[in-house]
Amino acid sequence: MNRFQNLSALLGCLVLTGCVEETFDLRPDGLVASGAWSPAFAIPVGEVVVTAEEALVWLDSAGISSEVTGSGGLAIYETFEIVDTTANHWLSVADQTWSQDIIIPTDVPPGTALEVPLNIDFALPNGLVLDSLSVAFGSLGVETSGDVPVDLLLQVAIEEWTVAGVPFAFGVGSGAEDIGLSGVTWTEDGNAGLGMNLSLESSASGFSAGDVISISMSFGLDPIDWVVGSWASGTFGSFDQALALSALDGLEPGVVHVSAPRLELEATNGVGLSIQPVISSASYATAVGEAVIAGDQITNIPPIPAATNLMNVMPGEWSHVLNNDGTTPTITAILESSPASMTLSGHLTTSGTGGSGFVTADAPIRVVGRLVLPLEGWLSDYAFRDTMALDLDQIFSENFENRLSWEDVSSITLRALWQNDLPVAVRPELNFQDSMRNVLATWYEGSDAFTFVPAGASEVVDWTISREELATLQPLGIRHLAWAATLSTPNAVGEEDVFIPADAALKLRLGLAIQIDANLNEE
Amino acid sequence: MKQFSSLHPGRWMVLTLTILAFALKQDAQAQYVNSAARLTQVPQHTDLFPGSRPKLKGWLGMTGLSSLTFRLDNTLLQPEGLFLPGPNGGTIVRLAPLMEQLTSPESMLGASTSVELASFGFSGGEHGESIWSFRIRERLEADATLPGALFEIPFHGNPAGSVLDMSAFGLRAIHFREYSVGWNRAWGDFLNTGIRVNYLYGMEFAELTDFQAAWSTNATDFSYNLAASGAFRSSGLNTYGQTGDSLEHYLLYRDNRGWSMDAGLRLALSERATVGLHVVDLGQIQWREDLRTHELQPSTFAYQGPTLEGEDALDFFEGDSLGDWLAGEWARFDSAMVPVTSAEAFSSRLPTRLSVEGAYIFRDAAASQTSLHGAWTGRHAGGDFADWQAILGLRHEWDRKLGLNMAWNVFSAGFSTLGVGLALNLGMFQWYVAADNLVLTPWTRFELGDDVSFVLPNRAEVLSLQTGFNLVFGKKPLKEDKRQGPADRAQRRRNVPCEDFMAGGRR
Repeated sequence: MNRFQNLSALLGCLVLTGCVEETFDLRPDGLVASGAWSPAFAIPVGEVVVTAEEALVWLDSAGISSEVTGSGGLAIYETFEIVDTTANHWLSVADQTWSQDIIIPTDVPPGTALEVPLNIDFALPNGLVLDSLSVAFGSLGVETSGDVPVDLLLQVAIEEWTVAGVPFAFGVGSGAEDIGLSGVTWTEDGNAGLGMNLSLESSASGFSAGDVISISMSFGLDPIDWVVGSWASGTFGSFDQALALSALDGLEPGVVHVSAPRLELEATNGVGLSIQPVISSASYATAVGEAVIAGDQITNIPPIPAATNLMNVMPGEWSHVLNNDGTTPTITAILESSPASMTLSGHLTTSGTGGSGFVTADAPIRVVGRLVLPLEGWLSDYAFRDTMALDLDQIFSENFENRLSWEDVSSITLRALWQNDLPVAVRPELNFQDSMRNVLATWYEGSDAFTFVPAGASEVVDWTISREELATLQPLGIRHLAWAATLSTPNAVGEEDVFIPADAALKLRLGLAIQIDANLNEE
Repeated sequence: MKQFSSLHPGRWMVLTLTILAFALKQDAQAQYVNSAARLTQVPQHTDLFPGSRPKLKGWLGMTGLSSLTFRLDNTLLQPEGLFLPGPNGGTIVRLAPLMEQLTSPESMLGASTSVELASFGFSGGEHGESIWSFRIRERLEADATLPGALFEIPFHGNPAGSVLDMSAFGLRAIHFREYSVGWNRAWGDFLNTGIRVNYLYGMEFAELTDFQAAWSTNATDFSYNLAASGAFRSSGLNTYGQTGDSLEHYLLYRDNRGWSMDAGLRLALSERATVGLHVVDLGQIQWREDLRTHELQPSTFAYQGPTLEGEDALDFFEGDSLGDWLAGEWARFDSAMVPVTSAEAFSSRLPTRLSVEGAYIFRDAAASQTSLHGAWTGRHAGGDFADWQAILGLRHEWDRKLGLNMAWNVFSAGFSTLGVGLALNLGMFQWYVAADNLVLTPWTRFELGDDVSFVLPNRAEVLSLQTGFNLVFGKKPLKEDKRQGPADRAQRRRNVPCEDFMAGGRR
């Protein structure tokens, strides 16, 4: 029986106990990995869907706007101001003074008025033949001197002036007084100057024959609300405007062909006078200097119509288009030469337009230009470019605390799935640049050529870079990843025009595949 | 050599998984230690083989000590070969075997225990052909099935075109008590049957059921697609610890009841050979109290990264746009994966175990007997018996005082163990112990902190133990039987049919 018990005890020990042979510290700080770690990760980076209309928003930052045309196409345009002025200088009437000694012809008993009719001259600006005029806040100063009785009552009535339809009249005593002219309307009756009736009266002493009473008046009519009349011809504004043509910045000649560009001139005329714009000079900058733009549309410009309805002004609206039909060279040709700017010089004048009408205070006279480029034409290697910072050492040190390095990455593949519904072929490019933006290498799709994504096509483009390639590049100091999308229309060589619908979209889905091959046996 | 801490994405993952693997153990054959099922002197051997017959006239289990089972299983991670001494007292973790272990298709972790609160049995009938037994047993088990795909991500990533199917993921925990009445009867010389009816009282339950989940990475555009469905249901966990749930109510008056049945038969093919068929835990519990079910209908969530459209595309990474998008994506995920919560009663079936076994006595001496036995036990869970354990063993008995069983266990998870069982009768006092894995491997100590450490065998997919103490009655020593002549044995065969034989022992 003992042997059974001994055996039992032995077996029991084997089952229930064991010897602790080793001890391992599992605290994280002391753990060391050993072996290969080669996971592969595929990451959907995201999807970008941009219509042609939306893509043009990118140009906003350059001050270029876009619009959908009536045909469902797109046009980009730049707006610039040519003239923005008023005709206030035609409203300004200089302050004027008038004075006269009145000699009392006979004794005038006390309480009897002596009537003195007068007609005084009044100078008006710019040869204005006045029809009517409205004073905003003018003033009239009256002063009497000489043999003036203490109780002099001088009453003045100006025949051409009314206030709210009532003849303008006022009375003053001896000495100096100012009379406000707010709301005074001057309606010319055909006689030059102002017709004025003076009435002098002294209730206490009357006037003696031979007394001399000096009366002086100072007229300050500014500011004036409006004037109706006719002026001699003159200019409202001169302009010498250089159009920057931001949309063409950096373009090489022959890259972009816009089949029907135009320069739209638009005016708003708040003055009741027809105004003639005059372009005295049109030119564009070329590599060898300024070149002249000529043509009927430069020299034959219709006048800007006058505003109507003095009391409720309806500005005159005007537009004039310079396009390929009336310019030499054509605007298309000008743009293809990628000029730095276009310059328009000239002025606005009433010469030849009659010069009769009205001018109101602060009435705007504004002429703007719009260079409109409808997106119909052809593109040949037109590139959008941008650059993003890329410092692999920094990325790995910040994200992996120096515990993985780019050398542990076996390969990186950026997959782009293009769905190109644009009528334009797109050629994407990626390249690595150093801190000075020098291109170190180009990230090709397995060959030394980029793949064009044809118009209306889908394409999968893989850009793969291996650890060996990175090992070559990284010492050169990769600091930027630059991308470019080069656009070309089909048969651009044959100058075949293409219409780009506003709602045509380019869809790009990006994925990133990273193959890690880290050997954790090495320090 | 790089510091392990340099493996930033995986460092904590490895540590976490390591601890998780050691903390949780597989539950393949929970609460049943197969090596104990061949200790025929021990009444508890009928726990798994109800059609077998104890070689006893009666027994009285020592209260609370008659059967204690513990089973800790782990097919996820074995420390053997994973660790090496590192520099400066640190530890080297070998990634290759770690990856190999963690990414096996399925790993099962679990822990279970049971304790017999009361047990007694006695024989009856004219010739003692019947044995009646009563038992109260507390059972607690928890297991988790972890798909290898879960660990593919940190080790192998998600290459384009990959599908990580995590549908094998499973969680199950149950705590219940069973009140059992059993009747074991010998029918002549060649047939013995046993049946046991169990009244079940449920206390806690939690289960992830009908779970399906897969994460696929599109081969073309790398977009992700997550498909998932399933339900998590629980009982007794939602008001856990609340004062309203008194201890008395918890122990005795929960409204979770059920029935199960154990049954089996053993057939003698000859005087030396027997075969048996047994089934246990055929039943279910109806859970009615403190219920919560979160059910997710088949749902999918597709992720392809941010979609930038229109003018927003131009300034997406500026200002709040990115944050807004992330919040939107989370809201989209939240709305795509909306579980429906309910509190309806549900039933849960016990994982039924089916055993087919046989034994052959090849040495039948006067005071001892040696037999070869084999068995296959499958656990029916999830619609099949994919979780099984096969046993081939040798049993030897000496003079009814000592029983020893050694067996080679092969598990469906792909490993094998050497099991052992020992039963010792000292007069009326019986002690037995059995384990399905005779752990001969060295052990390793792991330190997590200054005063925190644990030890584990270097390689042990299963650690099981069943032990207990009984008072047994009414069995004569083998030698007395042996002294009887053939005529006596023939007489006994007629009067006390196959009592021993049907226990898999001698006649």
